[in-house]
Amino acid sequence: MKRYVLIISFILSSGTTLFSQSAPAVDENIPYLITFGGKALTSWGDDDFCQIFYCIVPKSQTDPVYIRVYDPDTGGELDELKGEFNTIVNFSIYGGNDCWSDTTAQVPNKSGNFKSGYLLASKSFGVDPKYDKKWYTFGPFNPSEGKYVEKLGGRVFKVIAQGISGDDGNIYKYFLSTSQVDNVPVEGGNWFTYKYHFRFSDDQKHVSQIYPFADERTISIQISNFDWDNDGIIRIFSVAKNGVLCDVSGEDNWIIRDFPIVDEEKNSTLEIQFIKNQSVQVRNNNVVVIVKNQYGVSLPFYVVPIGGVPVYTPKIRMR
Amino acid sequence: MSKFHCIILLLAIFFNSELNAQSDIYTIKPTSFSSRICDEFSPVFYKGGIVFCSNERDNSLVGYKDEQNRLFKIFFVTKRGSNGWNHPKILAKEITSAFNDGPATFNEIGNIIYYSRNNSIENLMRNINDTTNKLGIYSAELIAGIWTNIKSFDYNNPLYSFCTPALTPDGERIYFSSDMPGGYGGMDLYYCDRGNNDWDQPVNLGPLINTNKNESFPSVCKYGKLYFASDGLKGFGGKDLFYTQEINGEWINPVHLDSAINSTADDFGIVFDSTLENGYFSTNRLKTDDIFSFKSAPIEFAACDSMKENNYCFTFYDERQHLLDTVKAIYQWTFGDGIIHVGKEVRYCFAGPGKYSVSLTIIDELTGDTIAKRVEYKAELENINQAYISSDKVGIADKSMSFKGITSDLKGISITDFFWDFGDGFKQGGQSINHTFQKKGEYSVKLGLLSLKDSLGVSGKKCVIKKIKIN
Repeated sequence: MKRYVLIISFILSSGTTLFSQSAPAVDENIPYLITFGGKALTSWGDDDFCQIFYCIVPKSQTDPVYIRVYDPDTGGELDELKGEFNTIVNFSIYGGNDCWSDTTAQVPNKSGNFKSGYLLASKSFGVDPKYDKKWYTFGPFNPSEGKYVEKLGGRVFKVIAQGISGDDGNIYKYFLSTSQVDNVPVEGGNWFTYKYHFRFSDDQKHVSQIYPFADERTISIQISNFDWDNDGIIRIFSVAKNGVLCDVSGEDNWIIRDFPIVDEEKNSTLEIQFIKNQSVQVRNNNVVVIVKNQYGVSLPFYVVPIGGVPVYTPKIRMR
Repeated sequence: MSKFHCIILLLAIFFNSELNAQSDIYTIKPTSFSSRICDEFSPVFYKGGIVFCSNERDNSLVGYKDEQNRLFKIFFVTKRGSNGWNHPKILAKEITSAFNDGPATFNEIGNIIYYSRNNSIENLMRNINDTTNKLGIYSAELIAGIWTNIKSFDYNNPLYSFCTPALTPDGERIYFSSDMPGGYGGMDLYYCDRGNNDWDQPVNLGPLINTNKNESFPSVCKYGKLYFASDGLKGFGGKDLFYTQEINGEWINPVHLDSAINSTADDFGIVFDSTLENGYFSTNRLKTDDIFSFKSAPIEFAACDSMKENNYCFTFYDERQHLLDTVKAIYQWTFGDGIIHVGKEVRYCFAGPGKYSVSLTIIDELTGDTIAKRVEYKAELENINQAYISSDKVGIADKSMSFKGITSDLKGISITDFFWDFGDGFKQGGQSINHTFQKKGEYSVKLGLLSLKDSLGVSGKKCVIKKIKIN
């Protein structure tokens, strides 16, 4: 575990500037996150109508920070309409010692006390053109209000987006900022989640990727994906995997596949890559992804991959 | 025991040890044509007999005074029966001078002789103690039974001695000793290779062979071994016999011959027969110079390994890829020859042993992205640690095949002797050799090797077997 702490701490505390503090990050090539209203059908791509993200504010950051949400309302051009817009989604920010714990990862869904911690801010959004394709800012938050986690190298805040009512899809994204009115990145900040709900681009040429981190205890992973609609292929890259195909889910179902993790992959980032079907266009495709280790503990997806994007290193042999 | 008996016993011990010295390898005895009064030395095989030097008087020659038996002539002795010898005679009047003649050496067919003699032979009454009359090397050609066309060696010099010539069996090189300037002191060994018409410039054999004392009496066996005498190299005392040979283009450290051959007296002028097991050598261990015969027990090589062919061809692969056969990736390999080999597994043959760099680039077949860029792999190829028989695997009956023993892959071992057993009853020595199999069949050709003696005086043995098919 020490090595894991060191690696993450190094990334967060080093002089390296991590500017992609939006979630999803630019390099993930994922346009938006999505949360459906509480009355939606899971076949539309959201299994539990709730998305939990965590942001990490490095301990060097002492000035207030802001958590900004883009297009927090459900209505207008961007969001996914089902009939008429009738959806309310609540965004809430949690701090305090209980907002994150080592056991958090074991319950990446609404079961259990997923709203643990100290509620710092909360706001529900329905149809509101004022926020259509605009940023809404939560904060300021004193970094000390977050849960300090040494192995993450900073203080953690929890951001929950929960579909309260309605059946439309709220499409949005986050930004961790030092400014109330602009997106000014917090140097060394990052976002992570244990269960990734997101919306794909409709552009078939777009390739998206997310980055789970396998710690030193990991000897196998179980990748689950929900409602991918058989839209192309999912592959895994790492220092030891060069595009291993993963089974893909169809409409409204989960599919699970196990993969071994070799020593070189421990304490390193994996890449799960999504390549859309090149012959048949699937629009408005939403997917949910979870990666668990052999103990059933979910691995965090960091929007800025720890240690960088994994580069496959072949093991050349001769015989 | 009385003093008298003690002396007798000591003499008996001395006699046995010096006269009939034996070892595990060699048995020796004086030849019957060696006298106890005169000197005989430097035997060479010639037409079934032996040519040697001796100061024995021969009544067929008169005209000079040699009351003290100090002038040497070239004699020839032939066999009588299976074990005896006829009485030695002067080899030929026409190459016999009034001064010193010999030793001699012949080409393989015996019609060319090279021999030492005093340069000045005109004045019959010249004082034989005159040290200014140096030795030179001369050659003659046997035409119609007469040695004619006597020529002086190109490099003879009246100021220095050139003597004890030894021709290689093919006649393409001549070894000799000389005290000419430019050496390492005393008499040094030199050789000249035959040029287009004449002998090339003399080449000193170098400090590994030559010392500041005397190296002389070279003789070359059929398989390239150069035997010589030295009183400068470490031995038992006096002149001792050594051999060296060129292995992989370099002279090996001189090897001191067996304790039966070498003694505390002068031992020199040795000749081996084609088996390398029998021959004759010169020694003054019995006060005068005598020619001894020797026989050696055949050196046996047992438990030989079958020779393995060195392999320079390998299949390259990504070990991780083997587990993941669904990956859509293009594997591009380069091996330093500028050619891109494509495939998840590629087979490549290197030129030979050495250090190579293999590079792998992996392209994503779906996106065209580079997954891995020029990942290097260092391959170091070594030959198998074995003696290697370089030859064809298949030959034709009655057609000569060439064999060469390659020992460069035997790490840390200095090879001194090569022994070949062709599996058809023929045994030969030497690093490179030609052999003709008479009959069709499969033969096990064995190459035996001896290495330098260790601190206990024991030579290491190695051997290897190669199957040869003769059609």
